[in-house]
Amino acid sequence: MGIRGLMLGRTAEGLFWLFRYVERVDNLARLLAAAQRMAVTRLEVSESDWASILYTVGTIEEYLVRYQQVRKPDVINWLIRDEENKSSVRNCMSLIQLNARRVRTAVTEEVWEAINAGHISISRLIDRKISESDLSVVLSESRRVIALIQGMTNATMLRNEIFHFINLGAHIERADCTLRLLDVKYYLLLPSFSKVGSTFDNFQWNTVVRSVSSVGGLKMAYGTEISAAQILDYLILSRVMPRSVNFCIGQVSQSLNQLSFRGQRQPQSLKKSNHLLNGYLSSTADKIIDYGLHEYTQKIISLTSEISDQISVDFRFYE
Amino acid sequence: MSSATPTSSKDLFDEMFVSTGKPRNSYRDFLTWFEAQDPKVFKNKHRETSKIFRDSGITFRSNKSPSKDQLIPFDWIPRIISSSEWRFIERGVIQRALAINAFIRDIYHKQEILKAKKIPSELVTNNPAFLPIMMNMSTPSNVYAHIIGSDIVRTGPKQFYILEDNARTPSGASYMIENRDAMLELFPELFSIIKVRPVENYPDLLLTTLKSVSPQNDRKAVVCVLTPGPYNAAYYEHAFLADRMGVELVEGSDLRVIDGKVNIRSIRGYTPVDVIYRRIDDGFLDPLNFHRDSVLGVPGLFDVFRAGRVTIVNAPGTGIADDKAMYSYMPDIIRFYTGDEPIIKNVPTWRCSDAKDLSYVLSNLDNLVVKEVHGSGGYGMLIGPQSTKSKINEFRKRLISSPSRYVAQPVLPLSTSPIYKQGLLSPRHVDLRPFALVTGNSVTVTPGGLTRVALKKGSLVVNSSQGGGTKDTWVLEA
Amino acid sequence: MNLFIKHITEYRYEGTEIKGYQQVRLRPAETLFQKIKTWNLEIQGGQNTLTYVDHFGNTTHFIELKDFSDSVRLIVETEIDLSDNAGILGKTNESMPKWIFQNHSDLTYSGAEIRKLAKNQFPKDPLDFCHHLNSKIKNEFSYDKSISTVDWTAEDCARARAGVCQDFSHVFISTARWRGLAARYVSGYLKMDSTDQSAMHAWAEVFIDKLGWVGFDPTNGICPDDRYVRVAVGRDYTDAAPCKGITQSIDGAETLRVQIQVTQQ
Repeated sequence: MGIRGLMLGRTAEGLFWLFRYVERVDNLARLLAAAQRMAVTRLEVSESDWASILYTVGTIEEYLVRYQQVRKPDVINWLIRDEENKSSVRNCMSLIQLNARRVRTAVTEEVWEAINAGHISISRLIDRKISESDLSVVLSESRRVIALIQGMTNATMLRNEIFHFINLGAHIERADCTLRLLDVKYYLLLPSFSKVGSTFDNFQWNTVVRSVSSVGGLKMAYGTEISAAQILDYLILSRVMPRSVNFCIGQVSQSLNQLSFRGQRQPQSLKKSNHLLNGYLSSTADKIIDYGLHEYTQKIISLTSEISDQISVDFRFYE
Repeated sequence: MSSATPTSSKDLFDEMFVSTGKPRNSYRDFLTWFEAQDPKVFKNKHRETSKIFRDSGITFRSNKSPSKDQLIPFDWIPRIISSSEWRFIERGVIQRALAINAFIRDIYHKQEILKAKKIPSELVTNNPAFLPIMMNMSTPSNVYAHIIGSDIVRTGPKQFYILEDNARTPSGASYMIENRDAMLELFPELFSIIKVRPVENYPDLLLTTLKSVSPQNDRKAVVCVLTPGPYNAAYYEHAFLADRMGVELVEGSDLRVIDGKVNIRSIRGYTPVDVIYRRIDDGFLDPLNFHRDSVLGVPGLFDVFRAGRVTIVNAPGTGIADDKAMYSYMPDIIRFYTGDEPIIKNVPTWRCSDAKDLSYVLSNLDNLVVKEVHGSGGYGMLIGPQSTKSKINEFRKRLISSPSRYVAQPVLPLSTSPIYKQGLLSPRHVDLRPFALVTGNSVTVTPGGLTRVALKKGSLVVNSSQGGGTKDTWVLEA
Repeated sequence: MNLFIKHITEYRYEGTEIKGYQQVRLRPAETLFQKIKTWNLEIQGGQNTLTYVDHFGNTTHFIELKDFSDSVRLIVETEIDLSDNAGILGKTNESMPKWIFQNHSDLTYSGAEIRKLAKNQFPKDPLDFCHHLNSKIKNEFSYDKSISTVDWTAEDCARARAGVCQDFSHVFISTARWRGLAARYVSGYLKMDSTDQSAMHAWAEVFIDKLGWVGFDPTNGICPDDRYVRVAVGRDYTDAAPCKGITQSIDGAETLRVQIQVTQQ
């Protein structure tokens, strides 16, 4: 960085989006890994499972324009390699590289190397069409690359403004990813879906939780007899689960707090994230079910998106 | 293309060795050290060199492969200049820098040199680099070209020539510094044996120069480096210099004119800037005043400059001093503004716009170097003795159809300096680009500069974009 | 003659995110033959943040448009004293070397049409040549607002033999330059019979040895007198334009309205 204490709006934008794309790749890899696991452990393979990923990441319409039918190999190709898909792993990795070049001097050597090496490694792997047997290799390498970037960031970056924009980008994206998943799968948690009073034993939900975090974490928190309310609690309201919406927005508020200039008004984005924390995210699982889970997730998705836009205004990403 | 040198090796001046094979005085200590080393050490060093440069990211992008980051090859045998040789070069470069600035100032004011008919007025009136918008523009301390790189070649012990002046956005200073850093890392012991004048302070000197021309005239001047962005061939250098000076590297979209000042958009708001070291060409600086479609520039930048509230370095319009036709009149320009003869001579130049010169050039094409007046980077050039008959004929046609686009010079037997190749010292042609920094009070020339070396045996083309490399340049302390 | 001029320029923008800048050249230069008594610039929707003299000697006001405003309005009021010198200005605005006005500019390059026009002029004497050219354009070209556009060149106008004062001035300048003379564009006001006008006036000046700069108004076929107010000069319209601006992020159209009132006092 040049002038002490002066960070370009464009640099903040680069850092923010760099780490949104890092999370996005990780999330894609998780979703695909979970679906893959489901496909190999079930007797019948349902294309709707692969379709649901498309709904989750929000590209179902573009996909159908290109491929017309939902078939596993096409979905895999679309999500990982297709250049027409703005959020394919390939395009995300390019954007990660591009943004990294632009903010090169703001990140440590270790982070730069991790991104550079990761980009090269993944590009090589996805150069050719991915077969069934290649898929798990691609997915695990993607997760390894992202883990290294995240690890180096956590281990080597000073906790200054640079770090906080990174933290903002990562957690906005993470919250968004969890919410979208819930948004697509919410019907599985409706009371009518499971037998009244019985243990919630849904293979589908097991897989959903896997794509967000480890099942072990869920079991650790709630034991083996898990109800729909507990899953909601785990994914939305938990203050300790690193991918819960509440945790992520909490991180957003913390970083915005650190970025606030002493003696100046609180940025609008901080007001909004605190409002969300103290409002919708201070609820209980039962209240959410009463409110209507689908409506609830839609609301939070839109509020999170507002916070992201507000950040770009407050910190002059563009003007 | 033949690889024969223009004259036999015996007639070439070698920087390191005299004709008997003995080392010149300035190289004695180096060679003593060199001969005492185990050659295996050198082999490893070679690998280490590549790693140093790749890790630091010192790259450029050529026009041929614009998406590929390439390393400029570095040869670690230093090119050594004695302190007396340097004193001569320095005096010549300083004289040139002062004359160039006086010339630019005059052209944008009373044009006395044109009235005195010392140079043909078409050189200015038909010159695309002349910017009418700069007329009557005064600048802080009356400096227009604050950073000048004058390329120097040598053909004999005391025979130096200025090959070309670069008064727009001369590049290469970052390589000069990186090469020294690399040598310090590779062979630290050498620097305790041999006292070499430092170049690492170039960024400090550059920053001082930039601050000295702030419109505010105070020490708190805010400076920034304006780059076209990461897709530009020299982006690495822009980032390097900004980093070493401790100033912000910005693109056009980071700047905005607010309240009559140019401001940098930071996350906290807008901060006014006083001096802009711009590495964007004139026409792209400001879509309100120049090319309307330029997205690289800042609308209103020139208005702020005209009103004296920001300084642009180098000022727009300095290109009138550095095309190859103007070059041929530099001796007249130096005489007019300094009253003295040029200290370092020009290479004899035939101007194809002149009928007599043109006819000489056409009958001697196979012995001459022909260059485009408004060209750069070694492109559009003919090196007679190294070209095929058909290439020469093709060039002849071009010359006849637009002669005023070209100038010609004799093929100079450039001095050679050895590179390290497969365990041996092997001579290659070199040139030198010292960097002059001009303030209102003085001209500072960083001791040494960038030595460019043509890596191909016998080749005279030293440009990095065409396979040239660089060396560390040492100026010995008295 | 003592004139009072009120000049209102209004730009309206569709779409909201307007960021922009204007260079305004509306302050008349002072010469032996025109003296400003009062001059005022009022801006609505923007701010004048810099004032300087440009390379042609024109006083230039730099205006920053207010973010997000959908219009900008410039109101200029000038009180000026004029005297008649038969269009002979003499040596003024010498900040630019003559050769800049002898070179062609984008809008005044001479092609086939201008050469046709120039070849018809037989007087060798530069002053006579100019008078002949002045009359020729007045007599043979027709004034037609609908036919020309702001980026019309001298060639376009010469081909069409029609246009507005800006075009006629370009034709005059181009022809004079083809003949080897230094000629420049003048933007200004003309006191006419009616007070209200919708545009400024344009004419030319040519440098004649021994006389200096001499004005010619090809639209009216005469030389400027004390009804003419010189405001700005340049090689052509683009250098002397009353408002030259750049705006970013306009979604829709930009409309311009100009109202000028020139009254004798």
